[in-house]
Amino acid sequence: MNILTVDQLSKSYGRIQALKDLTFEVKSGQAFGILGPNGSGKTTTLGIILSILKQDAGKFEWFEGQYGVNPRLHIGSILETPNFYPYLNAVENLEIVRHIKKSSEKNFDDILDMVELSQRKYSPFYTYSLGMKQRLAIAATMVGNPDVLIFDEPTNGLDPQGIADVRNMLKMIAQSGKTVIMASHILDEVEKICSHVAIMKKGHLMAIGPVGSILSNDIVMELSCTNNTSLMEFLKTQELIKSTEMKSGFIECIADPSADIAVFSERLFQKGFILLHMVVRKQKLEEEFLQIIKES
Amino acid sequence: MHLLGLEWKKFRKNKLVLLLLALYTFLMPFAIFVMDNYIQMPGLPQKETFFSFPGIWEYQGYSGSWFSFLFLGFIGVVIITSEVSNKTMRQNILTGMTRQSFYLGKLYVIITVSIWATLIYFISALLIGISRTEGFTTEMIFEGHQFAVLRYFLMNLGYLSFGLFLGLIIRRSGLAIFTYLAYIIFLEPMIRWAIHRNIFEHRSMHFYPMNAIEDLMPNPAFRLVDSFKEMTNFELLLNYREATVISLISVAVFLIVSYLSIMKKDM
Repeated sequence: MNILTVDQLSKSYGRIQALKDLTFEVKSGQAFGILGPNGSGKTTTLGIILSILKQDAGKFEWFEGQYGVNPRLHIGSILETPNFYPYLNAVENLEIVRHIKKSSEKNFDDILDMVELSQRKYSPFYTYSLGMKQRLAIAATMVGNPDVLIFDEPTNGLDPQGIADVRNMLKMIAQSGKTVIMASHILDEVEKICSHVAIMKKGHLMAIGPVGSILSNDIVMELSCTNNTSLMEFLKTQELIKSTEMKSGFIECIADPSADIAVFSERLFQKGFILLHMVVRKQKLEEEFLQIIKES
Repeated sequence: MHLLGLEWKKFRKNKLVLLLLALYTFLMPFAIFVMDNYIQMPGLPQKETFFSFPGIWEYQGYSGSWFSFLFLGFIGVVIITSEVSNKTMRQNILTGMTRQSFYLGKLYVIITVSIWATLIYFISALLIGISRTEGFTTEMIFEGHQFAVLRYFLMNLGYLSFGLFLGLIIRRSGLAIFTYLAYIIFLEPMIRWAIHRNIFEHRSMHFYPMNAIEDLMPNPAFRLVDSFKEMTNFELLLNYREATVISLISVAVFLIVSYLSIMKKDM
């Protein structure tokens, strides 16, 4: 089922257009990343679909309308910063979340264990370090065992250990079959955790699709020889060649990152293909991301 | 109920709220005993009027009104501003509360605090009246009360809803509390006496929200002044009916604007 459909969402803050005609879908079980630089509209998007902000135009629908006006009871989310009652401890704060979610699951031990806060669960929130606050926020999203989880920059401000811990937790959650929506400007993170990604820049959707196809370490090659048609046929038989496309005057093919160019070149020669043109580009992740972002 | 229980979970450890409630509960019943030092002058009422029926309703009410204004009104502000500054109002909605439920929770809190305040007032006035009225009979409890208990309740609701309203409009606790005090102590009286009166020297100068709320439990001495109105042709106070109507309207306005504020604003 379509967990979430977003249709032509737009929002401005005064003269600043934060979102323009944003449209996408998230299906059940996907780990959906919203990737973009700061100011691209990620948090605004999350704010709107969680009814914290009101859009100027467009609409969205959760769970195909199944839960009506308040789908958030079935969604666990953190937006921007972890927000809790400072003078209450972890258990008491989670109790409030449970109360709002009307869940009957009174035992938080499992959740607190998972985020490694069991030792400090009776200390007031204001005594927590940023990492602990972030972890409590993740714990809070799990209360009531919702099917959909939403995270906004979950590793923001954490030290390397904290970042690694959080990413592992999120990966585990994603792999458990829950639908996850994650906003981040860290592309590495999205690549590791997400199955699908929407790339945003200045409120516009730049690219959307499975992570593997949009962001990859693939090698891109341009090849040309005297007989491009048979070259094309040959390339299609090659295991490590992911795709081929005839461009004007050459073939553009995408190879798996493990391909050895020297070996490949030699094999072509042995098969009788004399290359007239060969360009090898290894798309580095960041370059590709920046490239997508630059196209405007 | 569900919403009230949630608010309790949120605030039962909030030191400020607990302090305000404690100050009211433990000080308010006894403030009137200051009048035990009263020395009667000719033309002024006797000390017994303060402590016995039916005067005790008015005097304890007036004494209590200071506590309601100062301690309880702040509760109305704090239950909103603390949630705004901790961003927990936003988080409550994210977690799954509807904006309407959030508002209702706050409304139930101020109603409950008003009931509590009124209960303390009722019990303390009752006990003091019984112990200090000469020749006490049970009928005396019900004579001349002029619905004091209901007026007291409305007055509390007035201060609390004003606090709630300011908390939502201003959203920052320091500024909201400052505005609360400044408006009640200075602004409204100034507008009424310095501006309104200069334009219309007319009873309508009393038709202001805070004044009406105060006049639900006014200083009983002023009521004596008003009994000379034939001489001065000027009434200082609203009568109870006027005060009640205007207070009800004011409370309604504060609560409606508060509701709209929660429903409409970006968080």
